[in-house]
Amino acid sequence: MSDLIDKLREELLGTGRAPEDAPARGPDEPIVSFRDVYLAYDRPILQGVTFDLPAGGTKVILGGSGSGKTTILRLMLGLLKADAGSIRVDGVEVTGLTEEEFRPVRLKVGMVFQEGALFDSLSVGENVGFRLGEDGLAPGEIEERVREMLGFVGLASHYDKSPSELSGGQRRRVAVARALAARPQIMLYDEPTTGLDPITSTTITDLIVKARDLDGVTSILVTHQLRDAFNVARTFVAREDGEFVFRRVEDYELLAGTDFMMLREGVVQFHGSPHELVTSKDPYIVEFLS
Amino acid sequence: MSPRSSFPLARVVLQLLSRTKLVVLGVQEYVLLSARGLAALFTRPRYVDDILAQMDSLGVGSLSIVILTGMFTGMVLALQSAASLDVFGARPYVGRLVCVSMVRELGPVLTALMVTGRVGSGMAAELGSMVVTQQIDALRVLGTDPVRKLVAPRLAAGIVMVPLLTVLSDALGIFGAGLISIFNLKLSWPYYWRTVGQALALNDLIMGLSKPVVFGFILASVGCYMGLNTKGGTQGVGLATTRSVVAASVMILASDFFVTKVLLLAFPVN
Repeated sequence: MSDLIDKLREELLGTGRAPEDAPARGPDEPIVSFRDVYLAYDRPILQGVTFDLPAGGTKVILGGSGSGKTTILRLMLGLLKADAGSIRVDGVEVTGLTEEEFRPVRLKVGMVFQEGALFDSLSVGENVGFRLGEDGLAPGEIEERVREMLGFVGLASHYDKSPSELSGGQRRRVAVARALAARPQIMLYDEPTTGLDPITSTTITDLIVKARDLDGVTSILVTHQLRDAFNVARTFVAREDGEFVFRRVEDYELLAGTDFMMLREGVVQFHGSPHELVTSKDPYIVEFLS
Repeated sequence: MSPRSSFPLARVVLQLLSRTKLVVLGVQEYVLLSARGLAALFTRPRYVDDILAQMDSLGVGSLSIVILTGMFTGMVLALQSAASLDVFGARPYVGRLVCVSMVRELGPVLTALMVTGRVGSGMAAELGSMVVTQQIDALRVLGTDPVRKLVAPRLAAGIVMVPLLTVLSDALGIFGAGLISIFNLKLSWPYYWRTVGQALALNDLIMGLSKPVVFGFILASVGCYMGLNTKGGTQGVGLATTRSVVAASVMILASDFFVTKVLLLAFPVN
């Protein structure tokens, strides 16, 4: 009976386990780690997915529709629960966490959803500053940070606009600003360029690169747009004399720091460097890249 | 050969069991969501601005329909009851009958049904749209509990504002019946109000104010539950809206019976 009461209390009020109780990540431990993760509904979604991502690294997850790419991001954030396997985010095993216990993990992660998922009832500025307000920052501090982030994504003049007044590309950029506003350690991008024209897509991938190179944010990019995936892998940015200078590396053999993973029906079909991907003889990969 | 294909009866039983399981699961999720929403009202953090915004939307926004519904219900009740009472030469009892009917039954039920149609559907549609556009997921990812931020304020608004709207509806219903009594039934204004005053007892007020609390909770919790469980894009939002109005209306009418039964046992009419 007391177990039942404890369970109900946990469900209603949370266990109250403090975030500080979470084990710290070891110096050589990857910031994200999946081990034999399985998930199935009426069909298998993920089948034994295993990968690591070191802090500061970038992983591009490729695959066709329904291959389980987005599911990986949702599992990391506790929006879905795995049937089996281990998922560690910044040293914390997240598979058994309750909604309340997940909060400190989520605070380390920013996510850009496919369509932006901006809150319609709030202005652009309020969207970007939402998490800062939840964290109890003073209004002045929030505004300063929000304006900084909107400047970062090139939308400084859109502070008071409503999300409905923005174009698709602008919505994604605001979503990037919202995700970055609380300075997360890890950024997850769920098909952020889908449905955008090539020029706007490049604007988004440049933002991903800026967050990675200037702020040292660990990134996972889920996409089926090869052009954008390779853009992220081969573009580097530095700040020179107050200006952002982008450089693109054309030789795949020279690319380091970005891993590619390809999923096929929930199974990891490929895992390796961009060079290994483009030189792979696997018929599925060859067809995917063609 | 599997029993599924061999025995049609077995197939029907299996389907029935599967549907029953889904219904039980739905009830469990609804109860859990309602309980978490209520618990969130008594623990921090509380979203006071959201609570006030919901109270404004549910309460002030529903004033016009509640005023019209209450007034016309009282007026038609006076006309109908006078026709019946005249058979027994009991027309002077119109005020007494209208007052008790409005306060104990019609005021709470009609107000709750009207607010369900206007606000309960809106809650389901708003939350449903947030689900299909991933705004609920975004809230969770940003470290905010959607139950605390979205459900609890709506529950608070329902529980507080529906009783207030009911009081207004009751008052206007009785006032409307008074106008009919004077101009149509030729009763005197002081006499009408005296019979109204004589009719009202403490247990009427207890019943008239307890029911709207339950109804307000039901319409808000059902609207939130249906909205948060929206599936299938914009079509799903429409479905959730319809389901929320139907389910909340049926639950309000069914709970009315049980609440009345319990209150009659606790506070018997002398």
